[in-house]
Amino acid sequence: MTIELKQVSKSFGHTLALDDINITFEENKIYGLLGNNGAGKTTMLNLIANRLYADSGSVAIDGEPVADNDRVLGRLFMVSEKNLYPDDMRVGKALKMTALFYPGYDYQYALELAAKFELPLKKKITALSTGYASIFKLVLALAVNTPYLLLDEPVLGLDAQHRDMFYKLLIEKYAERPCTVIISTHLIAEAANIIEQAVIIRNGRLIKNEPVELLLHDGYCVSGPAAAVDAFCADKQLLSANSLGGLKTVCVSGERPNGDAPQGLEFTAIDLQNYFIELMNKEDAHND
Amino acid sequence: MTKNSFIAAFRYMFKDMLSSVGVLCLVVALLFCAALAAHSNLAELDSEVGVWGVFEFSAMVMMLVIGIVSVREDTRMLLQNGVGRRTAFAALLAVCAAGSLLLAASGQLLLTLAHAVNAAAPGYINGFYYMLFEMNPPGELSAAGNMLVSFGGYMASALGGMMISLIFYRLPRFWSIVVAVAVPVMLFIGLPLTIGNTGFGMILGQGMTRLAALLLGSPLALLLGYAAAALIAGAAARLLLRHAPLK
Repeated sequence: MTIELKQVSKSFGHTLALDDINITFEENKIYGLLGNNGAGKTTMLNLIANRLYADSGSVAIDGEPVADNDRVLGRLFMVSEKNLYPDDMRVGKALKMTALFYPGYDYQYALELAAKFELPLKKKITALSTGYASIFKLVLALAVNTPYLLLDEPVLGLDAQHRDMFYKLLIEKYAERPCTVIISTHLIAEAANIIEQAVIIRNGRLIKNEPVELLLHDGYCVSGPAAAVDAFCADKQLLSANSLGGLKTVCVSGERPNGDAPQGLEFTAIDLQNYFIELMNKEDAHND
Repeated sequence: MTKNSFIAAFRYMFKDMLSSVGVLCLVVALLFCAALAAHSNLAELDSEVGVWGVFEFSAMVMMLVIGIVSVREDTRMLLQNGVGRRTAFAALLAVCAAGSLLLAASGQLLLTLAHAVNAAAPGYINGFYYMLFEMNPPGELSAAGNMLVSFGGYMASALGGMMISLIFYRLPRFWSIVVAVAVPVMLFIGLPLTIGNTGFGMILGQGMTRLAALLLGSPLALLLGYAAAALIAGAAARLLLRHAPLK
């Protein structure tokens, strides 16, 4: 039970969006699909959902090619910025008729979620604000109960409270009914708590595909008075540094020392966002 | 294509088709009633004055519009819900066929009712194909024949609409504008000028006249013409939809 991309490339005119991508998304895992703007994240998700066709290579779900294959397309649900619902369709009708297409869809749960998020059922989908348009799609995603869930910038336009609600509901759903979730997001710090495996793309190429725990094992952060931090890190490879007044936080490469930190300093785990930023900076430097 | 996906797609799209057919029938029925009520003494109606082809033309335009709108809108909706392009197209064809059948039957029923009410002057409200083939021997058009030809016309309209819609969907913006301007200019200005003023145009004009005479010569010929048009438009629409990116 996997999603497999083999030697997949896709161009739009002169722009190479994806370049020879080979990746397998395994079952029952939450993936974070990370990358800069224009890296190819949305293109990858669109290829998996057969909204686009690859120029070369193959995309398969559960061993079957995805192109025009209702059997496998019916096993995934994709949420993206694009609204594919008819202009005159109301929220309530969309929630109701999803049951026609997805046998596992829980309509009652969708209504409960709609009430929780205060989603107006009588409104036309195209008349929803950006935030509520995202909420509408998230309600469907949480209620549809497919083995594969593709979420492309799922929290676009959502306020902090609703974002928090969504992440909690996603975790609850995942705990109850494990599935493969691929979340493409720029809000790495927020999603880091739920992502198990990070897939990082840059300029259409896959540069990292590893469990988050492993990625972050190779670094740690040191915080404290600037002078003490500088002294401690003199012989270490710096990944990033932030100063505020007399205090400094530095992320360094290497394994975190055992035992207590020197007086005045504090060791914390490196976070995924900082790791990602540093990785992109390294790639930029490498290309220069 | 899976059976469940096809059925789900058909059920989703057929609801709208049913509503459209229902509204059209109601409107035409009211028009017929208004036409009949406008003449107090039906026996004195001049048989050359009448209401012809209202239902057929309205239904063909309706199916053309349905073809134009639904092929994009419904395909997007169905793809969002796990139905591939192939199944979506097949279901859309099935819905258009079912809708065309309903329209053909409804049109015949309305005409039959109008004739029954209007027994003193049955030619006052008449179907387009009845009028056409009564002027072109041989033979009168039976009710079944009328329904069959009507069905062919409606399907050809729907598939023509799909083809037109998908041509513009696949064209880049610049070429969409070029085609949108060039085709009417060619049809309404270029073609008449060519036919009237050039040797090639005269041959083309004669060919078109012969083709029209052939198609309008008998119900069977017209039906075959509609079938050919539907086949070509349908095949073109399918090819255009096949790898269409979602916009």
